[in-house]
Amino acid sequence: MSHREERLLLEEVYEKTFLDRLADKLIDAIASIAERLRPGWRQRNQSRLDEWRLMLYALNRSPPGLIGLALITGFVFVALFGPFIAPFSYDTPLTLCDPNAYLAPPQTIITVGEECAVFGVKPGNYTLILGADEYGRDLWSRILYGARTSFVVAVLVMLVGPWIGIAIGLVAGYYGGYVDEVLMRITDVFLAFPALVFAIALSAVLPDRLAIVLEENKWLEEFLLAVFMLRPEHVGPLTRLAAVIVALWIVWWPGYARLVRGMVLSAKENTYVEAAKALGVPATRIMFQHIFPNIIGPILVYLTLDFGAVILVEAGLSFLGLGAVPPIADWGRIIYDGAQYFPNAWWLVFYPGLAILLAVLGFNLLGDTLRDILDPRMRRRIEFRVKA
Amino acid sequence: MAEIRRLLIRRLITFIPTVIGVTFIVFVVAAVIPANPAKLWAGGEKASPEVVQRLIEEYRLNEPIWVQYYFFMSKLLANEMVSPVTHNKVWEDILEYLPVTIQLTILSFTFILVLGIPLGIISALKNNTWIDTVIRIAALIGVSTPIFWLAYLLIFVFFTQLRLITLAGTPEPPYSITGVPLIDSILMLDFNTLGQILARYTLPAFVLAYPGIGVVARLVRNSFLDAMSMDFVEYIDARGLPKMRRYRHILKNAMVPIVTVLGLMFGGLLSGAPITETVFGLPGLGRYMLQAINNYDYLALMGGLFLIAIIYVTVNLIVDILYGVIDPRVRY
Repeated sequence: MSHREERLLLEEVYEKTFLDRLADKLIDAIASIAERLRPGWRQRNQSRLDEWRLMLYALNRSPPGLIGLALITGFVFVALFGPFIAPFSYDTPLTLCDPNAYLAPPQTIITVGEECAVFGVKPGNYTLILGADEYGRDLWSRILYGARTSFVVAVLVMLVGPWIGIAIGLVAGYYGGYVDEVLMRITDVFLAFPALVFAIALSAVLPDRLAIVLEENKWLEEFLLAVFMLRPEHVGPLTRLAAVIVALWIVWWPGYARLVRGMVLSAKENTYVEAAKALGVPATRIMFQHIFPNIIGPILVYLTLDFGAVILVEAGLSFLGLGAVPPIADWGRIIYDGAQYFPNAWWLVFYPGLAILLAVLGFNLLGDTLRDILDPRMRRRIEFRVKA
Repeated sequence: MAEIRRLLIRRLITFIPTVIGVTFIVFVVAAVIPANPAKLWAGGEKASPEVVQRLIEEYRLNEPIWVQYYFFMSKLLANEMVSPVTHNKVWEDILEYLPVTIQLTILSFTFILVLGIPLGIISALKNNTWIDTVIRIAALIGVSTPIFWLAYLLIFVFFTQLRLITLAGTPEPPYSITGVPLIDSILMLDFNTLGQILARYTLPAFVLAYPGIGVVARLVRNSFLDAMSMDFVEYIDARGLPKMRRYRHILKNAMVPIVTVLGLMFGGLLSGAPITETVFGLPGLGRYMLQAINNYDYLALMGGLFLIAIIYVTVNLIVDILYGVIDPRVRY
């Protein structure tokens, strides 16, 4: 059976849904962008594109996966646009406008007069749908801003930490011998600390040093203020948040180093690696362009799961008083500050916690589904809704 | 046996560089702090210069970093390290916090074992039914829940509403055998104290165990399913062995990954639980570290971090050795 016939057959097996057609369009878009950058890409990677498409089809047939995807989409949407939707800024002290805003329960209606123009609030009546804290800061607005904080921290951590580990794992696994031994012993040392305890110690000692770094690199400071949507006067609390990011880089790589090394050890025995070596392809290119794409599946699963884990750990650190400090809106910190009024002002604890749960659950559901999809036995079950 | 002895020797040889590496990282962590801690120890801005100078000399703060490293490690190992903030020996301070952590670990680990393993087995036996789905989703929610949030919800139910638990103090019996009140009260059959301890520790232990229960249930389910599809199960069925014998064989084969994760969890629990201890106001190892951070007591922080890493590495070593005992097929 020719390749073309095989593809036609696969398309017949599926009754395409709306989501499947969306997946087709997505894959097409990716392929045409790649084609424009490197002519001939589509033809060379046709089988890879088909594989991606079938993975997306399988995802479309898994209810938990779709729920996870929906939760993540919601979280990312709120993180990107939340600060613009928010009725108030993250630190508007509404008690100064209307005393009723003090620890206002959900659905409280407050009246704002002319005097609040300094905070950029127009006069009128507002409903605080999720209530407010002891300064009258609107909880709904702070949760929306908090999504931005969580998201940016998680993205910045995931863009660096795991990739240090992946690079170390690739090098250790590919070269073997002494290189492997040395790199893995170093990894073991880092793995000897429980992640949360190590992160606590690091984020406690790092801020002073980072304040100096930010002072010397103004562009970095401005970049961070912009992505966290903070006003310039809040640069002080920012260093504590930056410390958490650096701490999580240091904590998050060793697991990946170990995982990737193990996979490289078996992947490097494949014929395509031997062929590449025989052709004189440089080692870095073999590692990153030949071996890496072939072990990316399990890495993708861990990256998805860890995105949620980072959100959870970051919230935990903020809850312990490390990381985000007021007035920065952060889900963990809102709970920490609200806890002193618990259980009377239950909303200050309940809603931010719910937000954390939903965001993290999204990544765990999607990661779990990806794991199933990448396991051939499980995938067939999802694709054809077969019970074992 | 020769096999295990060889393994032990090999593991111990790699154990030593790891411990040295750990001490080194602990030290680097502390060396990152650029602010002069002596001033903070002496009382901040108004500190008298002589006192600051004395502290700097006493703790070798202006000497090269390797001198500081040697000074710190030798003092710590000889139990001569005195915290400049509490003026107690670091190890003595830690020893006071340890019993709380041990009690939390015992109770929490019990929760993980008695809930996680049965749930996983049920899930595997009822594979692909609604029970399995419910347990799987519950496990996912378990690892997604911020435990401090869960803690407040449970405090609301069990403390504010039902008044079933206590939230203050650390119950201690008037006698001491092992130094751990929970074990002591069981040994002395003192049910009054035991009741107080359980009222104080059960909820924190459950909160601490909560994510672990999900992880273990999931893992038990998967390894159980793998073991059930092995050939020997067919043989057992063909011989007509009783059901319980069948499950025992399956469990034995599913044990290796379960023991790994349980071992890691035990090590993690023993390393203190900063979040849970903070919510419930329990003075354990995690609290000790946080207090050291708040007091700028970096020597205490280093001492705590060092101890935690040693506990963690040692538990991992024991788990590695246990493999060989559980599964004779494991070759090193």
